[in-house]
Amino acid sequence: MTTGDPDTQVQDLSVLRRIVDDFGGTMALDSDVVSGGTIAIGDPAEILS
Amino acid sequence: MDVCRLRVAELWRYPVKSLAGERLERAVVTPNGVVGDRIVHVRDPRGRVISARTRRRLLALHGTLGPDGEPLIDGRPWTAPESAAAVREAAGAEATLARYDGPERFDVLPLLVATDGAIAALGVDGRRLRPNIVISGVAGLAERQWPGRKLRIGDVVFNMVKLRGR
Repeated sequence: MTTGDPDTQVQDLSVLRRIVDDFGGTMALDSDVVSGGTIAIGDPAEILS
Repeated sequence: MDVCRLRVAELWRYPVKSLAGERLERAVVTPNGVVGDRIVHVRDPRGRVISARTRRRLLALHGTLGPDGEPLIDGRPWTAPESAAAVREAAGAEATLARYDGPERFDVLPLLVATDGAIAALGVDGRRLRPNIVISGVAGLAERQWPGRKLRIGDVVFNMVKLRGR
């Protein structure tokens, strides 16, 4: 739902067009959970290799 | 790669799918996603989910989770007549609300992780991506190298499965 302004709901198709043209049509990561728990703002994060 | 500075910058939950969500200070994560995320949806008479892609006015309604774990719409119980009326007003006369918290409720996978670098590269309000977690300290488009790797936040570990198609 990238095309709707979160505050005004006005449609802006150029956002999706830019994702398609400049970012191969993808943005952010689909993820699932290996082990759950509680996370909080400010928690350190790390990408495991 | 410098990974020491990565932090959780934002946490979001969308108790009612397609509506505006709520920003959290902390979130409880299970294999079924963020607790309380997208447990109510808007549907048509055939039971198909009505999305904000076609009914953008749904984004003007705010879904939050009440103290009893049930979603509120603009502060009222999702089961209230006023909530049903607000959803009909935004999504059409035949739109109704339904509760379903099985794993198929997600468009793709249970969580969406966004990063500050990619949001800045795109140059829009990150809320447009409807993330659950925004990680800060990520240089540019580094997230594009993340699929297949794991993200660890304390004891919580996520699989970064794939880039989200838009």
